[in-house]
Amino acid sequence: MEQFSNILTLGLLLGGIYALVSVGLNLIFGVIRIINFAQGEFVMLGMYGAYACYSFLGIDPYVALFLVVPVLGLLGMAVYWFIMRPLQNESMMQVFASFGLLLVLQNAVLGITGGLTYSVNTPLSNITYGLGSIQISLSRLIVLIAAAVVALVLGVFLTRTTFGQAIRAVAQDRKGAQLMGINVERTFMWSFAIGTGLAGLAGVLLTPIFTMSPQIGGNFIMAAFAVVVLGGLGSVLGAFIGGFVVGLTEAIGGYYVDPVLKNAILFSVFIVVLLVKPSGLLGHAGAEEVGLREQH
Amino acid sequence: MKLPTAIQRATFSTPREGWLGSVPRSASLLGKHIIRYTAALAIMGGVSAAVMAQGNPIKIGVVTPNAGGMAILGDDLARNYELAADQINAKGGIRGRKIQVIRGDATNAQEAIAAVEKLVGRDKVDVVAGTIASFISIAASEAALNYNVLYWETNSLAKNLTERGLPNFVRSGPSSDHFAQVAVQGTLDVLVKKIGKAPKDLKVWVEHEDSNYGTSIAEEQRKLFEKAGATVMTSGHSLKAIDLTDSVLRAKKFAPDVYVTAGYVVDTNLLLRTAREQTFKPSAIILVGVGDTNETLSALGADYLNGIIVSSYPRAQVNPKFGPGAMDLAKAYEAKFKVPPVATSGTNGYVGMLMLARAIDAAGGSTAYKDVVAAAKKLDVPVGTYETGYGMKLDDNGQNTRAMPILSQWQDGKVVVVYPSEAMLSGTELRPLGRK
Repeated sequence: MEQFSNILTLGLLLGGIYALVSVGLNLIFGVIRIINFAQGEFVMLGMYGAYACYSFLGIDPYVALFLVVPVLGLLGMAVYWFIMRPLQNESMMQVFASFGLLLVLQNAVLGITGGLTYSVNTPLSNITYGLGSIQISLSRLIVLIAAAVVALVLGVFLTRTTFGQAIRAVAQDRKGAQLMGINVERTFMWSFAIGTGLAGLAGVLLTPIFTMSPQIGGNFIMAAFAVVVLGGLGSVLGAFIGGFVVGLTEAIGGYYVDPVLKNAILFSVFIVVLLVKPSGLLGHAGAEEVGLREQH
Repeated sequence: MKLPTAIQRATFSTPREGWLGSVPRSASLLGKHIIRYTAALAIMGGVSAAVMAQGNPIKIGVVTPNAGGMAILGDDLARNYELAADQINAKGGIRGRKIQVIRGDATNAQEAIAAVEKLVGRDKVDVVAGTIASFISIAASEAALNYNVLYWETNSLAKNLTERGLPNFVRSGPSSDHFAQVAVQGTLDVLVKKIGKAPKDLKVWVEHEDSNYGTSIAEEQRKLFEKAGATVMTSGHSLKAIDLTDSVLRAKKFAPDVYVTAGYVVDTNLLLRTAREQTFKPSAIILVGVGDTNETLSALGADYLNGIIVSSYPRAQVNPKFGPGAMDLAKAYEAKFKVPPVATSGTNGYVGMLMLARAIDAAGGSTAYKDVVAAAKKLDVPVGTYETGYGMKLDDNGQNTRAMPILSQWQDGKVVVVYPSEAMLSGTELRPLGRK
């Protein structure tokens, strides 16, 4: 029983990581319907940005996020405007372009760093709290809290602000939104920028936990897609809960069955959920088709 | 053209018997010219052939990943090959012939084949050597065989490289089995005393990343520990796992005395960080193949690492009796490349190149793979000959049986050799293993 509460805690903390990494992807995939394969690379850039601030400017990663996140948001804006927007009528080409971007970003970082891995080891990154036999690291707790805060803020933004409602309108019906006077291109650009900025935030907050390598983005991306689709395309709450579903499945599968099989277990669960509810746990019925329906 | 006087006299002068034999006086002028020039050419040809044989270098193509994720290690290995070539040439080369190292670049199997084609086809190398990674070695060695060229492996670890039955393949360095063996042997010989248990009472958790590399090391360790009577559990994890807490908690439940893991830097660092987080404290932690560089030090800090054991290629800071010239080699590297040696894998490559030169010499200077492999298999070079403490004795598969890795221990932020005892620098000792 004691061990189970340990695994449960592990699953929740891991869920926090997945939820935070996926929230940006959810916005991009859910709203603009772009399968951004490079999303993991923005997480990676967030990590390297935090590392650069730490080693060259002596700034703690938690402070560095105020610099790194806006920069990655701007980068996202540029990526959307110059790469994705010209391909907006060719969704397959957008997929390929994002894959090309993945390779460019990975290899650029590889070229600069020469393949050496980096780690940030601050006093904060070593703090752990003991709750009975359960050990909770401060860095993971911060990620969990951040995931909850981001989900909340994003939820409020999308429902209570004009621009947020514009994003939702564009996600539901691009043509209709345009007819209502919403600038679709600019909405997409800002959505992409928020998405990549959030990926950068995830990267910064994960820096105290992981040793970074140029390829680390790839480790996150498959699980992130699973979270987004499982949770329900475009649903902020869905992606948040999806993160915990994935985290708990991995933790329970990894501990009680075999760590080597946890991915297989996760994707089995993923398939079963989708067979029962194709739009995901909290997605609206038909949401899964929106991306495939012709958008004129 | 002014001919040497002797030839002039022999062909044009009056005496009928010159050093070329009798020349009919009635031979036409053209005939005399022909004889004269042919003689000159024959002499010059003979002389220059002798000169050419002397000056023609032995070309060794080296396949290393000089770009991509392994660039740092690959480039370091190629530099060590070049350094070895310098040292060999400074001593007169191989039977008077200098050796020339020509680089080929490969980061995967396809590029390995292309690199060998370039080296053999375009650069006309006599021998191919390499390389940091087994998946590159497999392809490069098979490509070399297509050209009937020797493939001399210095570094790649996969066991099956020497079990394929490839006739042109020799491995001068250790295999993954040796890395496994030294970890087990070191535990049974010295670590048990610090742990305070007999081998048959030991509980060992063998963790490994789940590709062929980690799995083969884990298998060998499991076999050897079980042979010694220990209770063993093995467990794999993905190199790309976002979280390894499940693996650590499973190990913690088993409560091992010895926790040994074989993987790469990223997953090893995550395992150690998680172990610290989860207050998992086995009596001994052994890292196989990685964990002895700044990449791990910067992730974990000197305090946590204190006492942790690492199995790796021999390093420069070994006892000079064990590895003669190891420190001088480090200095020579720094003098040539203006930076300190990057990794111990490089030194292993340096020594491998020396062994190749010895094998070619033993083959009478021939670079044909059949000759070199046969000659190499007859060599019996004692342990302690090379800077790494290696000797050279190939088994029937072409695997050097006298190339053993060593064990080192993290001590106050420095990596200190602790096993075998002959390799230890005087004044150093095996310190407490760090966890109780």
